[in-house]
Amino acid sequence: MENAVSPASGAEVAEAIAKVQQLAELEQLRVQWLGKKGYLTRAMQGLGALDPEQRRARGAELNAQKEAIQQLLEQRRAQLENELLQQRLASESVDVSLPGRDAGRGSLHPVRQTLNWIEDYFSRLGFEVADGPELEDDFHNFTALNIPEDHPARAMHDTFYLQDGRVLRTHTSPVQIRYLETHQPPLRMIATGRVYRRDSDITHTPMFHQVEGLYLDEGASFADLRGLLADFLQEFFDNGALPVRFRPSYFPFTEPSAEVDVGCVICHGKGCRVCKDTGWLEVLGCGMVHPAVLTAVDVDQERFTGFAFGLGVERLTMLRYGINDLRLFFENDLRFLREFV
Amino acid sequence: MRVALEWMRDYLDTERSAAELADILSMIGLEVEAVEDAAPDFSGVLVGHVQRVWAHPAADKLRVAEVDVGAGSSSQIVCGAANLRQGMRVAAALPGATLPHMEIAEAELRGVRSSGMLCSAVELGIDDGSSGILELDADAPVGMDLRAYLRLDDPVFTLGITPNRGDAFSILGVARDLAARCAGRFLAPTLPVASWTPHAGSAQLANSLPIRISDAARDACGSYSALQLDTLPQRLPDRWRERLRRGGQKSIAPMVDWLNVWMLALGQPMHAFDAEKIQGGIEVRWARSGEILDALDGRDLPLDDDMLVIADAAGPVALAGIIGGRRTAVSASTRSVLLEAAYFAARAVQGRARRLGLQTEAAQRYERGVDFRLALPAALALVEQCDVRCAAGATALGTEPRLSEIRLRPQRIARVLGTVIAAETVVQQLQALGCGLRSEGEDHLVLPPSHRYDLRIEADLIEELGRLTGYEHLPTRRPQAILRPLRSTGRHRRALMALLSARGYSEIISYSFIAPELQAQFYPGIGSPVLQNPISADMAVMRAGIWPGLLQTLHFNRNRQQDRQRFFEIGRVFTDQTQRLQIAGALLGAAKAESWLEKARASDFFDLKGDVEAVLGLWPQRRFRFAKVADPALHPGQSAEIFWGERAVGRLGALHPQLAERYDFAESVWLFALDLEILLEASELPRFQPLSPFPSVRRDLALLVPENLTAGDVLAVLAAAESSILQEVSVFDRYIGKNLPEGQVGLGIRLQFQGQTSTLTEAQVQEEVDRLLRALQQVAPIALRN
Repeated sequence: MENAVSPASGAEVAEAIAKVQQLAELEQLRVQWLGKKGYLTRAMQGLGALDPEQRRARGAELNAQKEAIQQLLEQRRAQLENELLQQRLASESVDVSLPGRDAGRGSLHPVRQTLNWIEDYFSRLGFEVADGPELEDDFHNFTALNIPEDHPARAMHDTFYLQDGRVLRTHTSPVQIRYLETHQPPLRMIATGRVYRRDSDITHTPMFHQVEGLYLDEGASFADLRGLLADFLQEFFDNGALPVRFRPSYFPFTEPSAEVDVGCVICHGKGCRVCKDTGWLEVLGCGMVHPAVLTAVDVDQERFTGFAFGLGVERLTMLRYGINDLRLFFENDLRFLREFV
Repeated sequence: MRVALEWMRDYLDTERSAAELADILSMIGLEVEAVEDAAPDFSGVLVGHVQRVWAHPAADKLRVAEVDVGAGSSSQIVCGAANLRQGMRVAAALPGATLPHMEIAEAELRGVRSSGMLCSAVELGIDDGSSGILELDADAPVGMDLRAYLRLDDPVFTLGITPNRGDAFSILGVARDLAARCAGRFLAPTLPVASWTPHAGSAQLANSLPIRISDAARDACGSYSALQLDTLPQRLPDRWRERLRRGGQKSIAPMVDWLNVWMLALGQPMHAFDAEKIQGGIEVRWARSGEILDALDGRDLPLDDDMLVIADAAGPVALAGIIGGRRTAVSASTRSVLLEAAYFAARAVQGRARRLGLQTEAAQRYERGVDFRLALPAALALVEQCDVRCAAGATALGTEPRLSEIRLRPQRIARVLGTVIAAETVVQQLQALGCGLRSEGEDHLVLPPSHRYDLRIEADLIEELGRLTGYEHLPTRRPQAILRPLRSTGRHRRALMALLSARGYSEIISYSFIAPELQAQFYPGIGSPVLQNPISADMAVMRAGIWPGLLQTLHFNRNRQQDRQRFFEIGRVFTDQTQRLQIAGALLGAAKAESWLEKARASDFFDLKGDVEAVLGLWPQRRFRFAKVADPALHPGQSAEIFWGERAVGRLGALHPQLAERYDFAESVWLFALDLEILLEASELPRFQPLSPFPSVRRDLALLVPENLTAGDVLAVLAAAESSILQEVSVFDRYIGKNLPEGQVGLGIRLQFQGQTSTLTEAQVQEEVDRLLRALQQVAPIALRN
């Protein structure tokens, strides 16, 4: 800009700046007034010709003018830049309601979630999680558990036999025996896993899951068993007031034996199809370890007493989530599995 | 077992309601599985007396009866039953009556008025196996409401009797147990005493028929009584027929019915032979291998030499305590009966019925144990009750079980039950069960009764005390124990499951047994454990791997329009010698679900491998190597075995196209399987590596390598060169193209260098790059591409 234009007055300057809509225009004005060849620069250069008195007064005036213009320019620049930023941000906005990039979630099988829950619960109480083979010998699955051959209790288990004479374990109880063969009391353990019975209908599958628990200590009594299991069941069903009932029953490897019922978690005792109108649901079996079992594994029975319990994981899972068909667990329908993400 | 309350009142005097009794039964260990009414609802049915019968004028099969229904009134009723006859007492439903499946009204049948209906047992819902209309006792009170007459407003309990409770397998036994729990007063029956003396080993009936227990069978047969009946019983009175029905037994013939009634009441099974068909004499002995019994169920049962039989001169006539034979069965022409009442030891009966595919009421009781002093008294009571003439009787004795005293220590009771039970309570409860007691110091010496020889050890008695006190009255407390650290386990397993599920895999559980064909296709040549008694042919061998189960799951879900699936399973896999934990997974369909952001891309080997590497990444201290493998289930060009050192830990790859076709998969299916037991072996802690403060330098090398050299080979050479400043190596590119010489591929290798003690100079880096290149060139003709 060769010819500096002189602003007629402060008001005119302010008006000219306010009109500017582009940063480039603003720059033009700045050069016009404040640039090397701009009006104010030239006016400053002209100061030398004035006498000192005038020079000072005129100088101060020009400086004030310059500062005022600079300030106005700066304000307008900030304004324009902000407008530009706002425009850019507006143009960059996305539809936040659209779904994100999904890797797809998987899920743990509901039976696994129950198993994990139970393992965690008893681990917190100091139970060791033990494991044992699924193809078992007759001794560990039956004989050592006080179920001799031909005993009517064997009819309680419809057993799968292998051609080599072994059996598919019919319960997780043999893990008790294996654990006792290698551990000395006092001890606390649980074992979880697959078990097999030759039974298949609407309420039975030939494979299912059990949890076995064993507790041996000096002075462990039936009262402890009741306390332990009542706590467990109330915690599992998340109801501290859940009624828990122990009924005498029979298992060859415990004595006294009990079946444990909880107040029906579906109808809360009013009577429904699930509890067959009894208001009670049988959820596990337990008892004091039978002397014959302790003898078989050489535990001093006068010193140590103990108890064992066993429960069906599918049944607990069904009750916990309100699942109404056992067979769903093994169909592995993706829609079913995804309900338990 | 079914217990009618009306019948149980013979042995139990109680004021308790049916609901209370049901509750008590369950709480003493006789679990009530159901409580039913003795009959369904019906009303308006009276005892009628048929005065006169005449033919229906218009229908051959119908007749007309004039029936006295009491109070001086009689009704004309048309009836089609063949057994209708003048003089019989019948169940007459009068107009207005409501039967379980119909309402009765005045009607006209082929022009004859009919004011009601004569009912069959089935029509009343009390089917007892009889045919035609229900015939009542000749002295049934005419005009009485049938429900009142047959006492039909009465509950029947169905009890689940556990295998240890032979004593409770009778109405008498249930009553005794209820009384012991103070639910009523036990009314012990007085049973008759025999007029003859038992003889050890053998005895003789008056007509000189010998009864013998073979020496070898004396332990198995404690006593064998034979009663010769010269007259046969008459039809059971209504009351007993009803009881038999409520006990769950069909009426067959009076003799058999009476045996069943007594078995239900007292728990003593008995058997009736046609006396004239017994040849020579009776012997209780072990069967001889190859002998056959023509059993009453119509089958010919092959016997083993550990089966106890009753035999005559011509061979076995009954399998002791289980089932009788056809040759000597009582029939309509029987004139004289030989009634067997015996004690067979439980262990001589146990398991035999099951082995022969039988389940009989007698076997159920003998297997659990029958009162060994009950047989003869029960038989004599039966004779009295059914009013037949017993011409002669004889008893041979084997070895009776010996009862011994059991020491019961009060402190042991307290230790097991967690509470003290007062001495007088102990005495009172055990006496109520029939035990004899005396004391020795603090201890009780307890002699169990003959019906409770399941009571053998102290724990058995403590259980009884707990049961009779009521578990609900025993204390509850939280266990106290010494804290002891446990090895922590399961951390990796949980992490693994969490990782796979976060990567989109859903866990499944599939059966451990699969079809042998499937096994052979996926795991040929592996010795698999085979089931003797599979539930079906497609579940006959123990799986050698999880892939077949995963494929079935993919298939199942694909048929349900799931086109993108990822599954994993953790479970045991089996060979003849091993049962190891495996984790396996499968994926099918797009690498990512199609979305508004991007098009779906088919999954490939490296999607699968990425997931597997993520799993293996849970063990960062371990070096895993992937090498090509020939697996019968996998695509030969897209499959690998994974090694940790020299140990193979698993495989991955595409399902072999032939198998994919066989199982109807059009798209690629990707599989992996890892030996979880190797992975879960104790793992190492991370070792800290100092962080270098100096800048790192990156060099990208564009290599030309022969196409038979794998990227893995190149990386292995670089790793083996043990560069002290090489921090990281990665493959950033791989290309095949026209610009490349034949048989060569381009491989982009990114090297990251960093010094631990100083900033690397350009010269140092170049020197190291040259050294690494030389190492590569020693292995194969590798060139730098410009």
